[in-house]
Amino acid sequence: MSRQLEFRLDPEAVRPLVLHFRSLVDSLKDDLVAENEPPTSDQVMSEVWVEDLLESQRKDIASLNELFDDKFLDTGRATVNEEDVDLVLRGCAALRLVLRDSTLSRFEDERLERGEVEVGKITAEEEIGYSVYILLASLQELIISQLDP
Amino acid sequence: MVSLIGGGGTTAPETVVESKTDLSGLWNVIVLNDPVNLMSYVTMVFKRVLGMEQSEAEQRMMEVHELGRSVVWTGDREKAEAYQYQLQEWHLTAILEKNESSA
Repeated sequence: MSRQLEFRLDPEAVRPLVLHFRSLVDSLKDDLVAENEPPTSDQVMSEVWVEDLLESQRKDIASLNELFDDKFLDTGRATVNEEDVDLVLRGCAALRLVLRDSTLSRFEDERLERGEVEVGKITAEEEIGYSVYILLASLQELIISQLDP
Repeated sequence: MVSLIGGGGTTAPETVVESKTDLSGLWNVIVLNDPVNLMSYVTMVFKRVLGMEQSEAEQRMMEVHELGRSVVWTGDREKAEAYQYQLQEWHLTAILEKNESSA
């Protein structure tokens, strides 16, 4: 029997975060989030390489969509099945990379890395984006600690 | 590679263009630093993808973090590409470089 990891959050607090997350998902369908190059200059092989990575990325994001579904919006309760943890971990990584290049693009990398973004001095959209960024990191930390105590 | 083959007398030089990528020898799989992925995440990926022990995975992760890059695996081209793909699948920035000491 596979294990499950359950977490609960205040539905009112996470609603704007989930809605912001959903607004970013479309940008993940056609472009790779990480700055990566195929290992070959052969055009056909490169296209296959990128398309395979994109397909994998779409699955990662689909797992997050499933996790943060309408039921989660209503209850704040979500469950990650053991067999889905890789997808969820990668989905979190992909979305954090997108947030860094979109909503949080004006912040220096060092400030993001050290958590030195002062919430009171940023716009409402940036605050929501930063909250999603932190939430996804916390979810990754939680899953990793459970996988590898 | 371009080589010029000189003809005799007034014959114009003939240009022979030969394009070849040498995939033989050893290749390094290198992970580059990014400011987004968590240290614990990168360590976990090294363990999962490359089969590293915790201590080695942490050491390589710190190299990435502090030096900006780390050679995480060295070996033949085909397997290096497979590791590169898997690391990219986990959204790490991974490249291949020829291991010059093996040339």
